[in-house]
Amino acid sequence: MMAKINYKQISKKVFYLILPVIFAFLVGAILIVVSGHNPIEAYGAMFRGALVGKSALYNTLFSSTPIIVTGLAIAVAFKANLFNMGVEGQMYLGAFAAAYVGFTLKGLPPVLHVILCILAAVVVGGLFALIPGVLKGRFNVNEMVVTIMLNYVAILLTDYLTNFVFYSGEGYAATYPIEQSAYLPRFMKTSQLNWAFIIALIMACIVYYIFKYTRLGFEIKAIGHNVSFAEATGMNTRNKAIIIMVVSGMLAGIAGAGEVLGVHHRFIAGFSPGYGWDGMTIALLGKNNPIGILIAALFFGILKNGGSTMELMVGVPRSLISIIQGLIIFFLAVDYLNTEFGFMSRLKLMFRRKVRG
Amino acid sequence: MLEAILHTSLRMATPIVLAALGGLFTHKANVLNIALEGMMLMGAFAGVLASFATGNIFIAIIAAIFASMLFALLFNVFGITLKGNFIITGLAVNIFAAGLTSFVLQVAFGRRGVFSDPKIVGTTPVHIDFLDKIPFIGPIINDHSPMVYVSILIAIAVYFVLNHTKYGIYVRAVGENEEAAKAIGIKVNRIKYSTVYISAILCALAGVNLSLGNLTMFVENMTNGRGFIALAAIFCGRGTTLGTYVFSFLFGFADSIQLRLQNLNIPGTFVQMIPFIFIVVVLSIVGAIRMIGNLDRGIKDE
Repeated sequence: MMAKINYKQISKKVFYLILPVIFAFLVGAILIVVSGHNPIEAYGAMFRGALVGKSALYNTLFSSTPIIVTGLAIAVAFKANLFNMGVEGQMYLGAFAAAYVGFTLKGLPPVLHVILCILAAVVVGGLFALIPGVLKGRFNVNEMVVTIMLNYVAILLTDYLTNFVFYSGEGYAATYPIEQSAYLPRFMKTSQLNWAFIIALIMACIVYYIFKYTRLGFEIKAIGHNVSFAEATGMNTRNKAIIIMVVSGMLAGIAGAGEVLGVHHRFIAGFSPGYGWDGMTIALLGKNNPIGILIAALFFGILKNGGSTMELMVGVPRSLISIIQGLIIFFLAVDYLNTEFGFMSRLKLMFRRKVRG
Repeated sequence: MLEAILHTSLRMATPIVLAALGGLFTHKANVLNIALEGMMLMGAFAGVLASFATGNIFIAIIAAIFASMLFALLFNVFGITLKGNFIITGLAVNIFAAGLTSFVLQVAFGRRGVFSDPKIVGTTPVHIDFLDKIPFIGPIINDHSPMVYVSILIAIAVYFVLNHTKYGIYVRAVGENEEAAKAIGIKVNRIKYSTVYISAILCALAGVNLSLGNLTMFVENMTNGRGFIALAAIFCGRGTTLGTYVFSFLFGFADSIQLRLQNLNIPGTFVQMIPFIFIVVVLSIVGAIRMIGNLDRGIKDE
């Protein structure tokens, strides 16, 4: 009996999660038609490019690697109703820290070097998130605006450092390459998929553990549910806000380190095409649940990896992917309502009222 | 020198002022409007397209307002009617606008990133003769794109509407206590809808000022966080019209200092951080002052 009800609820939940995606794809299809292409062909090319063949699959996993971690970073804050929009900037600084340790320390054994680089990224990412955390916790300054402003600061600062202080002298803005001992090994030659993916999976497990079994996880949930109640039960919500922000920033730092150590092997100015923002969609789509985030990130990996195939084969611009992303977020807002307020029944009520006059 | 900096400040502040004044309405109605950024971007884009197609600046402005209003409608439907989270819906508007502008640019014009064409008509700077006679002030407020003067007029109008009209009282009532407003028969959702539309119109003007005011081109993501800077100006100004205007101008001032320093051969990227750091510092100071004020009266926090 119980199992049956749970099954029904789960399938309902899954349905409402997939619905926004379907809607977004439908609207996307209309846009493809308007731009003079065949949507089935375009979407077909996208999924084929992302899923058919070993290296395509590996590349999809590779595309999803950074956004798994940024998704987790945002989810940690989202779950406590804190809007850390600064994951992008924290990631940039974390990546730079990892690169700095990567090219300054020489002659270290490989595993130790990698660990030191990641630690540097974690510390710098966390410290940078401390600023909006303290402002929120101590002075109740809107964390969203502060984190967005700090994004620009972080990106411009790393830009300056790469262009003027650690410039490698090559054609593009990048630092010196990191030592080979700091490389995260790749799985195969034709794909850039590397150990950062494994690290991302480990991070998902850690966040799952934190949410499920630790005091911090419980407190995050309590604050997210009702701040006043959490405060009334004796929780120091202001200090917790700071800690949650820092944890979120640490994860963002790891995302940056993965890109430097596994992919570019140096810090490249403006390396991120918006992983921090993608993380936001993924956290929403995954409902702040680490398993959901993994699935959502894989789905976005397909979109990202297949998007370039679509552009190449069919000629539909890749920016369609960000349109679909925006649409998914729109429809997710509706979905929330479906489950929480019974939107359909309200619609029926409205309709009935109109009919009666 | 100071005159030149202040002249640039006024120019740089204008899009922020317009967006912030629009956001002020939604702020007063307790609607957190993150979508300012996206609506501004749509305004800038539609303005450039219409100007390119017709060569008429007025049609461009109307097109910008129309496009921006469409996005406001999206925000309203998903955020207010369907009761979605404002932050999430606003975010969706921004991402959608950024994606749509570059998609259309690529599909319809085959351009990537930048769209400029000699056929695009911009606004021409206005020179007012009698201002020449006023020392100091004259050179600062003379020779601007018309939107600069419009923004000053709009600021006065916003002050008047919010504080001295029935509509303004309704907006504030909805923002302060929704249930009470509903109880006395105010159509809460209608008021909220209207505030978002007003912010869309002002954001469209801000966007037009960006794309047709000084340059005549559209650059992908050319709003560059100005929507969020406008939000910061509202927060810093504590939701008053004058405060919002003053802080918008201050942020424009930081921007113009940055431009000036770049001319002096100080590394650009380093200097470009100034406005953003400035905003964070100002936000923290305002927050700290408010906190101390609250503690004095023995109230802990919100």
